[in-house]
Amino acid sequence: MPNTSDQPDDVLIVALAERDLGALATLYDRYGRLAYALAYRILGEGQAAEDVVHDAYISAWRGAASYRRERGNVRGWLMSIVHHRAVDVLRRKTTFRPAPLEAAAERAADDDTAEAAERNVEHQTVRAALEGLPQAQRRTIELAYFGGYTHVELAELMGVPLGTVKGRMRIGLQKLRRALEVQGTYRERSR
Amino acid sequence: MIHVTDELELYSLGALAPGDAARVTAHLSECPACREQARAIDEVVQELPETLPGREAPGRLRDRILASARAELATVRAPRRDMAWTARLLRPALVLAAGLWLAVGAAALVNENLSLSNELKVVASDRATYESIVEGIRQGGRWWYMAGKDGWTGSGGTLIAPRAEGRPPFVVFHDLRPLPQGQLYTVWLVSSDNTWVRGATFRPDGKDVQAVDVTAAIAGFDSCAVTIEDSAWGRRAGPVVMESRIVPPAP
Repeated sequence: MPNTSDQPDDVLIVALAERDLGALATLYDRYGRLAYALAYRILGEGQAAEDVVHDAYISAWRGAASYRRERGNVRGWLMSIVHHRAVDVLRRKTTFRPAPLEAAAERAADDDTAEAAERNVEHQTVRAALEGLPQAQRRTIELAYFGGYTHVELAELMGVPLGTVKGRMRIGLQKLRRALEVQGTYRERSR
Repeated sequence: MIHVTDELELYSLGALAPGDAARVTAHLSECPACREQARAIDEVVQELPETLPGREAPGRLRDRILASARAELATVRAPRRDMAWTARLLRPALVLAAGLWLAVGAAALVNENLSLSNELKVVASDRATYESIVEGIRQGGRWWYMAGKDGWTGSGGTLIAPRAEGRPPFVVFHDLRPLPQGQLYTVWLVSSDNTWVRGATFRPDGKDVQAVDVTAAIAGFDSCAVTIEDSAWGRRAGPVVMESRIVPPAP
């Protein structure tokens, strides 16, 4: 496999569409950890998370030709695939619904490596922005995105009207955007 | 045109029911204004994974992904050696498979004897192109034929769930129509509660016969279908061009 480790994502995605295994390996090295963290957060179980990340990367391998830069960067595209697949799997299970974020963070802390801790520092501004939201907005966003709940389920779960769920999501995401912009961390993450 | 701006946050967070999400996807494909708003919301939502604590993936996962891609690469490359000749031979076997399916009726949808396997072995045993297919069903299994519908009449695909340990399910398609740039065939597994799980996404390779691995296990699903999609991820949005019940449901 040619060395693609220094190539930007936009070059890698073209190479991926041309069936370049090196590009696939580099994209895994770059985002596999984040993909696994996301799948694990949604599914709460290692083997299922591993299967989802595997399937997502193979899906990207097969569907790289459909990637459109104007719809988002490569990292976001990959995470979208992981998210959709993990939620699909989650919704087929009925026995597990993940805990709110703070509980997941506590669980993960035991087996975090030093490298993981360093990475967490890098992204603490994003986490701080989320944690800076009013609890109702933050929880609504977390339960939808990480918990796989539909807005109808959330309305029932939280005992509020559908419009309130929608409003919390909208205002929460608007605040999150502004917070990230103010902190100067709202940037192009793909390399 | 009814815009979907009121639902874009729900859509981006994955909080819409499948039918509503499909409707929004369809609208976004033809509305630049809503698409731009959706992209702005997606930018924020795509930051959410960054809030997670780091978690090391198992070391074997990288090897597993690369092995799957490498195996697929070999499967795709091999047919090009003499595909036209082989395809001419194999197509009757697939047509025979479809004929058998029709002849024996629904009760024989689960074909433990896999006469298809024997037919394939006869015509393709000396061809590397189909070694993996034959090997996959050598030990038996189950299969279901998805007939093409509407503009795909004459096309079809056989979903095969090999009994062999460790062999993933796969679909052998025949006479796939070419697709415009940017469109993809997508194989779905559908559960009784109408949950659609993506099993494979691919472009037609222009050959008469094309084998595609299905990345999801078929256990628990009631039917399978093929749609035409604009995207390699997300929920189903495109038209169903092939489908079949999985009867009885896989265990």
